[in-house]
Amino acid sequence: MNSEAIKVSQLTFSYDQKHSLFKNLDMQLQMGNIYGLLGKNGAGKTTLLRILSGLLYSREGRVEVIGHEPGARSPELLSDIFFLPEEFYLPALSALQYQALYAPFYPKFDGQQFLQHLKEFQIDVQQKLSALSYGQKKKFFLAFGLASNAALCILDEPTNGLDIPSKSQFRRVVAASVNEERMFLISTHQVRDMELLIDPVIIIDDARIIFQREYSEISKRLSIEKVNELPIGKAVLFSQEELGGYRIVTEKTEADESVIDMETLFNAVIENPDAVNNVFKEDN
Amino acid sequence: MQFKEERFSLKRMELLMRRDITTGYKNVLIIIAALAAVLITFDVLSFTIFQGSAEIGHHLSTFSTILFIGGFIATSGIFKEVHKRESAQAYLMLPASPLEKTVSRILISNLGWILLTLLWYSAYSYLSAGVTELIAGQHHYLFNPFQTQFWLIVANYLVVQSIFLVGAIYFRKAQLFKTLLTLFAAGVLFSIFMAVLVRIVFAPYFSGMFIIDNAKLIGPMFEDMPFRFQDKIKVLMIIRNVFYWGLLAPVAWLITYIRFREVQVKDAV
Repeated sequence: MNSEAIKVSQLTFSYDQKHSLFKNLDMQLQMGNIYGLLGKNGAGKTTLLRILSGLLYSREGRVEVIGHEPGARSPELLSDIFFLPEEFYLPALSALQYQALYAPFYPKFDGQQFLQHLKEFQIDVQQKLSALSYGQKKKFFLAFGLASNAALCILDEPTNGLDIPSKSQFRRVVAASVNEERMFLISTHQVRDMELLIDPVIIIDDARIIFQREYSEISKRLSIEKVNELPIGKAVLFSQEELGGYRIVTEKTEADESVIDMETLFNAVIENPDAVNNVFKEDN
Repeated sequence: MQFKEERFSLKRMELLMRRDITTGYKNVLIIIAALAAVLITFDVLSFTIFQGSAEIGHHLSTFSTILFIGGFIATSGIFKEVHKRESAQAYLMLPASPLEKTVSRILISNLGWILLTLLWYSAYSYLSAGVTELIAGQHHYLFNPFQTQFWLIVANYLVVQSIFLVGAIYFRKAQLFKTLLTLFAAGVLFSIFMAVLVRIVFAPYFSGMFIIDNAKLIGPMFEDMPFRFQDKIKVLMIIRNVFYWGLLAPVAWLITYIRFREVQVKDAV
């Protein structure tokens, strides 16, 4: 059994006194996984990631990240977390200068690995970071974070601003970097970019976790298919009209596993969370 | 619980300071080079066009002005990184404790600034002496940091600068202006408080808001007082000295640290 990386209990957080963004939120995440945190804009994904990183303080409740309270911002924890925010700052240094200044803060930093990731991402080590494009900056920062060998990698909308080849590179590098002592938590609303990468899937809506399942569970229990007509006499959990027919989500009747279209799953859970969750009730 | 996880490592402090200096030194170099050029020009002009002569106190007053004004400007911006959202995220996530981060910024803005000003001002004074001697045939007395007055100025800077540190971490924008405004407002409030206090203590010598007779306040006043005011002044001076030299800076540093620990990314703009 993998060790617990994140434990959140009864978390309450608000930006102002009147409206609570999270109220009594509970969550447990294990090492060795690439969690996908999905949600609509404003659902609280970034806020949750910031609380886990110690960038925001919860009002009530308990948050434990790799055995530390993130709000204390202890160097031990910070050297074991890599947080890639959507908007970030890089100084006007070359990649190698950046490495010389920042890598000593991370005891597990691997210089060879860093250079290898940079090569893979086609980043020139001599070029000033401030002169790189947004996508290149993101890839540089990701390369540094992966080479830091931090146990917890928190990525907020990592594929935003990446071109199509870079998205593939990103998926390949992340998939190769996960191991039993490491966990990725990836927040995104671009679910298609994360298909076949994230597992388990966490869906957050209205400041609550409304769905948290492993891919294998989902593919055993749910069927997502395209049909010309809406089926009669079959319980459809969700349907959306598209060119030439409908995409529907139904409870699976056969024992095999099917490929899950993340975007449809996401829409189904957002629109009909109770019905989708009921399908999994036997597993609980 | 947070204190239990707090760590202090000199190695990390050194890394933090190395990072801060490496990423910020270019701007500082440009500013001090420009300032040195302006000062040398003024020195040359004062000896040639304005027919000035060498002054003993020249360097001490110029050095003090640069130390204080430059130091206040530099100190007010020392936590700028924390007030901008993107850089705040990067800085707060840097693996060093809040104590290490605060102490490193305090050291850079006080001892670092003093050392930098001392070095570049010494260099400027020698350079200026050479240039003005060549052009005007005379020069100011060379800057001598080994005099009591110099160290008194430095000690005063250490104390007063600590107030600007608090302003630097508290205010998210226009830190220098807001700190000066706060100091001014505090000064006005203190003056009003003292005026009211004097009005109450010396009530017999007042008519409404005005003193009846100024002469009465000089001699007889102290004899008339029910307590020995002269002795109290000595006590007040001791209290003032303890507060100014012993308490003000450490309290300001502590407030800076506490405030830094409280900073969240939502506070940044």
